[in-house]
Amino acid sequence: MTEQPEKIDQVEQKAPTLTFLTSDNVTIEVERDVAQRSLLVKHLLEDVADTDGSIPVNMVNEAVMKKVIEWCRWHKNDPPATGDDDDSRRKTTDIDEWDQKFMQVDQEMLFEIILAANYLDIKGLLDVGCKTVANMIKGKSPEEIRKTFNIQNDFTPEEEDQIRRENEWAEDR
Amino acid sequence: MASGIAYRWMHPHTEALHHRSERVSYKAPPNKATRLKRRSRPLCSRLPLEILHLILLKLDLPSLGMLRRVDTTTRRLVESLPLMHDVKCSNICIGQLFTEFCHPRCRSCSYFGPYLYLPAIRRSCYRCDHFRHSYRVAGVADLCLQFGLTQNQIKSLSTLQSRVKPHQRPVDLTLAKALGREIHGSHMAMEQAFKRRLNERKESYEKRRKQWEIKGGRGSKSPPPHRRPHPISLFTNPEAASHFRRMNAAIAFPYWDRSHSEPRARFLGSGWHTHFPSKDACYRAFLVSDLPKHFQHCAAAKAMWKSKFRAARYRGMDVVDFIVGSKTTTRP
Repeated sequence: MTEQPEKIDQVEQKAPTLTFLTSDNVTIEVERDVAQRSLLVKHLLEDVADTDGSIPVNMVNEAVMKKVIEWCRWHKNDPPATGDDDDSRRKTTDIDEWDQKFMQVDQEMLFEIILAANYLDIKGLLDVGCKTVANMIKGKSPEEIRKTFNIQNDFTPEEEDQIRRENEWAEDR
Repeated sequence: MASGIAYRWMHPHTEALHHRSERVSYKAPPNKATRLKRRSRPLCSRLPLEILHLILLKLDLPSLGMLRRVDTTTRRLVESLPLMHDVKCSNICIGQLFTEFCHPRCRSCSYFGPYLYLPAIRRSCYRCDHFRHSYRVAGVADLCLQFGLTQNQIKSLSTLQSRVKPHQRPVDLTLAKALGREIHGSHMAMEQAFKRRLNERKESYEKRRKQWEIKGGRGSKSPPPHRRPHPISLFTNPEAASHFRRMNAAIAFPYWDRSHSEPRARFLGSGWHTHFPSKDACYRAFLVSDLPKHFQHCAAAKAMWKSKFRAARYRGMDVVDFIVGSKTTTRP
């Protein structure tokens, strides 16, 4: 974990940069190869030759953008995603240790990161975000899920009983 | 002379005296239900549907089941998942499906069964699927007529969706017959119900024919009423027993070996040695672990190999002989 800041500093000194303008009017400078983890940015750079001005990211605020950049910087050298994953991979909820620590944020921030990853088209980050939410649901009882996501139970006792009976086959395993 | 301004002031205390009274707006605190409602934020309101579907796809079925029990919105969200929709709409019991998944042998014979016979959710082998009488399917309309059932009554049985003839919806013949007998009480009563339906059909045709003749018969522009052909017994109907229909009712189904905790789809169909006079082995599939045991004792395979060996020797070809044994057996 201690290697990470050094790694970032090295990259910051050499690489050409891009400027992003966040929704709260803050400009953030990012190395070009780091920013290209986002397919949205990558395609934008392919289509537009002149990238001197700042790129507006209206859906993402400064705090979230910094987190997204932090993830992109760490995963800069990862192989690019190869389209749709197969079913067996989609089912797994195993997350890399660094990603697990990265995702230890409050729920609002987690959802903001997922939305930003979806907007910027960063498949890897979106996948990690979805896995984190899936892990928050996995193996929990309905009451625990309600507590985790602050959801109110609006079922009548009869409805609750009926759904429990419908689910019996799954709960037996 | 009065200016008249005083009369035009609507609020003289504020407009002339600049006195502003502070209005106290009192709002009652929300009751408990409103407070809970305001605080409650279902997942659907926080993330778009396509991302929620991505999250749900990463969950196992028990977790999806638990999520269904959280609240109405989340239940609808889970049910909007195509997988859950399919599971809910079908009559297939997942527990039964899992039992068949973990059972390697055909339910009608002792051979390894690489197929699942869908109308009855039971593991089957190629031979039973094609030749056994209890593995026959027929369309819903034919079965309703034959066994005196209504569309509602037959709904309790697993119905397949035929890709070739979507209107037919094949159902297991044996199960439909058993249902008919249960509803009518006896085989005789079921046959009487069939005859009654045939009479109703005939009367309906005659009525329509009379009306057509009253309207002018052949002289009128309308065509004569359609007369449905007399149904052939489903048990003698060649279509009900056709291989094509039977194969549509079965799918390749891997076997889950609980001890290895991974699906074992490695089965072999052996079409290269026959057990005369029957072609038994042609239809048979084997688990990889069963192969050495079969070929060690299979007289037909040995006889076939011997004749080929002799023929090759006769032609002066070099043939390598081998002995099939289990992996643990040490070779001499």
